[in-house]
Amino acid sequence: MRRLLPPVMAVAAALFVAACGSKPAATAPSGAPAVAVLAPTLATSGSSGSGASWAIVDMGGAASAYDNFWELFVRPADSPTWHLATPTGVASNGGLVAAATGATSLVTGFRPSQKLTFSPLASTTDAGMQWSQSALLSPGLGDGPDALAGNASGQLIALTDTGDVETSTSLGANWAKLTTERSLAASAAGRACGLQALAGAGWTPAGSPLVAGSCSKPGMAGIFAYSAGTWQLIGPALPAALSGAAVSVLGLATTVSTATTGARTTAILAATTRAGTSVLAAWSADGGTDWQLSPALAAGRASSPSVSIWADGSAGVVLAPASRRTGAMIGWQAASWQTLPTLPAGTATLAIGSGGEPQALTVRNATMTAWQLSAGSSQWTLVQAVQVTIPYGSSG
Amino acid sequence: MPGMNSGLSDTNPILVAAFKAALLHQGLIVLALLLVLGLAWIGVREWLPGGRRAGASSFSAATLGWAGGSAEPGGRRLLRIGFGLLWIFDGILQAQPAMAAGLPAQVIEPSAASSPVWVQHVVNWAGTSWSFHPIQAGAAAVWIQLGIGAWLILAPPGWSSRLAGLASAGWGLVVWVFGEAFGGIFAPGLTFLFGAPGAAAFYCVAGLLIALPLRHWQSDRLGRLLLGGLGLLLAGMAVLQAWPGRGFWQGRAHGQPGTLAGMVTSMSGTPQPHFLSTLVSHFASLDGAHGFAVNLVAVIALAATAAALLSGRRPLLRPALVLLLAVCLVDWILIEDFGFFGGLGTDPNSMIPVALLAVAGYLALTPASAPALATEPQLVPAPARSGAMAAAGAFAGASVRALLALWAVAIVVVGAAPMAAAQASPDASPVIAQAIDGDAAPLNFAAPSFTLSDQRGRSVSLASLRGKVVLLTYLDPVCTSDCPLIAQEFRAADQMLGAQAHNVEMVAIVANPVYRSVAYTRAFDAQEGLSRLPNWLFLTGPLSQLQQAWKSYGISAETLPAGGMIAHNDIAFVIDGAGHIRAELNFDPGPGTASTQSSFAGELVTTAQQAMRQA
Repeated sequence: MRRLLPPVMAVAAALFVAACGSKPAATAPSGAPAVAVLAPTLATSGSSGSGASWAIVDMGGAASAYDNFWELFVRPADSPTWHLATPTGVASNGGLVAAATGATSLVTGFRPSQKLTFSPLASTTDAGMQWSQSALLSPGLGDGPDALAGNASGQLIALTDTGDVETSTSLGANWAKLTTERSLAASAAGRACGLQALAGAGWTPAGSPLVAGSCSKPGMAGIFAYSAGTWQLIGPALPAALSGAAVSVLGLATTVSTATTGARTTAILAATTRAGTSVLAAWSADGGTDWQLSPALAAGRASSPSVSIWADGSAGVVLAPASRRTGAMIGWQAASWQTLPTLPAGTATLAIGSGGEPQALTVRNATMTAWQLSAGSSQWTLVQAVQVTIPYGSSG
Repeated sequence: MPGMNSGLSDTNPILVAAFKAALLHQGLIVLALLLVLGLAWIGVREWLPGGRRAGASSFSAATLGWAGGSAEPGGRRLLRIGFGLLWIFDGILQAQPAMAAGLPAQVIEPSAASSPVWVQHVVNWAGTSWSFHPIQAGAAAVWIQLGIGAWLILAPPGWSSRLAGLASAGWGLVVWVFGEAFGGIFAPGLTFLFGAPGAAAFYCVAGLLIALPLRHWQSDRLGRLLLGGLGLLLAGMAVLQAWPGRGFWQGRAHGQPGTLAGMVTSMSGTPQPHFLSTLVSHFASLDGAHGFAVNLVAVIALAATAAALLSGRRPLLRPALVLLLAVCLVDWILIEDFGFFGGLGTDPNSMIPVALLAVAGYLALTPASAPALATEPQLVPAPARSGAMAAAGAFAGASVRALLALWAVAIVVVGAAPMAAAQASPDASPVIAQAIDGDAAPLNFAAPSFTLSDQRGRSVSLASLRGKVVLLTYLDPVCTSDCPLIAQEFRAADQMLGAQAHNVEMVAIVANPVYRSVAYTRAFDAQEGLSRLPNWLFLTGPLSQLQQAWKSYGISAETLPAGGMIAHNDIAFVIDGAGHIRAELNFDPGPGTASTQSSFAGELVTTAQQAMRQA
């Protein structure tokens, strides 16, 4: 027995060392949520009643994260071409969020990046030709295209990256905290849907604050309106077929009334089940009391979609994965989604051309290219390529 | 690993020059110590009467472990001298010019890269400590290793020699944990052929053996234990080498070199003499083509040696020892590539230590004769005498070898003391800032005036700050990278100045033509924790006044398109109480890692204190 002991100990020691030094075998995650909440990318576009459009895309494409810069492009109302309109003076690596406050007025917020913890704001009244320094938001803007929203009165509402909802009466000056993610979740409205996280903010046509988030209770759309000092859960009820789905709000915007149309609130919802994700548009002409739902658009295993809501209440979505990007658009209260031909490679977001045609904005390193889909055509046509002087290395 | 790398080149001329200067400086101290010790020894011997000195040599020298002359077992002597020489060689390798800046990123970080996160945390702590004080740490490693090596070789048998063994084991443990990431035993790919379980682990074992009382070397038990332990280790390593799925059986897999061939190939590509790289490269090709056969030979050799050593049968031990020495030699040349080639080699790796331990174990099977061991120093009652006289007698009675051993201890202290003192400070050495941006340029001319508003809206002019030293810089309040780092250096400088901060104003002027309102300077102050610093002023004003304040100090603030940050100079001026610019410091914070943290602050404080004296 004693003779056997040393070899046995040697083998045991080797097994121990081998176990210590070996990579653990991959195991399936346990306890993960049944479905993940879908969150949109910051790449988006918008338009004004006058026909001007703006779009935000991520450019650079370098290996270093700080060599990617978010850029703002503007297409004036009377022009078919886009031009670079990114406000200067701040590094845009963390992301840009824009909010329209009028036909040619825009407020842009820079998301925190590296050691910058607050969000500088810039405003323009001439569609990005000239920018002015505005007051700042601290803590910084949240990570979503609807983290900042404005209305024609110049009011702003912002969702910060700490979950605070702040409002300002004058282009970012005098911010006041309206609520927090935690307190809203603890309110009767928040408990009704099991609010998990806030995703965006906006205004009703009457000027009441709106916020959107994801709910833990299936089938509930987390859209809340603030009125008379209390929050109301006003999200639309989903069809019975999606009553078990996890719902997230991908986009929320209220457009300004024009001579021909009243103010419109459009929300883009993602309803995710184990089978996949469905995208729905929800429209309200009365600030959220009554909603009309679009048919569901099957989005498969979508991730990081780009969502754009335009001035007439129409909307467009680009669905990941990037290797097989598909896109769809839907008009205000339309009966069906218009599935677009396969998007050009590198499509970051959809936009609206000067004639109302769908455009796909693609990005490859320092080039933004606009592709247009003419009426009746099934082919995307290149209409413009914009070369951007990316300030590589300036943020590192 | 965050924090470990200062981002500086290994061959940064300022760091290299500072390292050489530190080694030269400490080398002179070491020589001076030898001279002082020698003169003192001669002086005391002359001063003490011969009888007292003779009495001292029989008592005190032994008591102090300085007496020599006892016959030392061959195995112990081999370990002592062998590992002493290894430490000296390692110390010489530590003196490579690039070692001070390069060791954390080139040696420590890679050694832990594939280890678990907790190992990386442990190693990162040490690497960051080194990076904070690269010159002191680099020089300390040189002198500690040279000192321990000399101490091992020179100390006569007795407790001084045993203490040298303990020192060797202790320092070996430090190197094993922090320098070798526990010898990589928690990382995948562990193999004896590449040094597992870490060369420093063998230094520890040898040190502990040397530290044992001599009586343990009187029987063959120690030798049997040592060889048995080696056998156990080799058996484990043979199992690991043979373990399926670890890649050692394949010369090539999926078009790539197998585990061993890949390791050897990467070794052959490191800087070394051409003939050696060719030799190693050929072996890599051989293993690539015949991976199974090479590993089979390795496994059989390890297993056979292990079996023979574990059996304890004397007829098998000699051939097993010969086989092990042959394996060590072949492995050392063809696989470990002598260990110290290729960039910043710190030691000749594990095969020499293994061979020394194996031979020492074999020699210990034939214990020293009892009469020889009987001469081990014994405590002999001393004649009554005062403490000072006893010490003087002991010193005078010491042999030359004992004196040199004492000098070796002093060498260790010369290396360790500055590093210990540096470690007491939480701030990084200013030499890092100088290495990044060069030395401060000494100046003496009137500082251009400016009048702007501080973050509280009060008007501030340079003239209003007269009588105080002004540390002036230019910051962009919405900067994402450099400016927050510079602000933190100013904050750290304020803390380092302590009571002297009352005589200093920390002033920043906005360097952004767009975002320059007081709201932004206040937000920046809040972000950087500067709001409550009483002597901190962040000045701004109308664009025309700002432009004047930029122009007069040679500052440009360029607006970049497409989401770029404002491009402006990272610079600091030291203005004395009379309003004269005394120094201009390039303040580009470089990589801004934890290792560079506060190094600029130290530089700032030094120049501020100079300006106080000059005023």
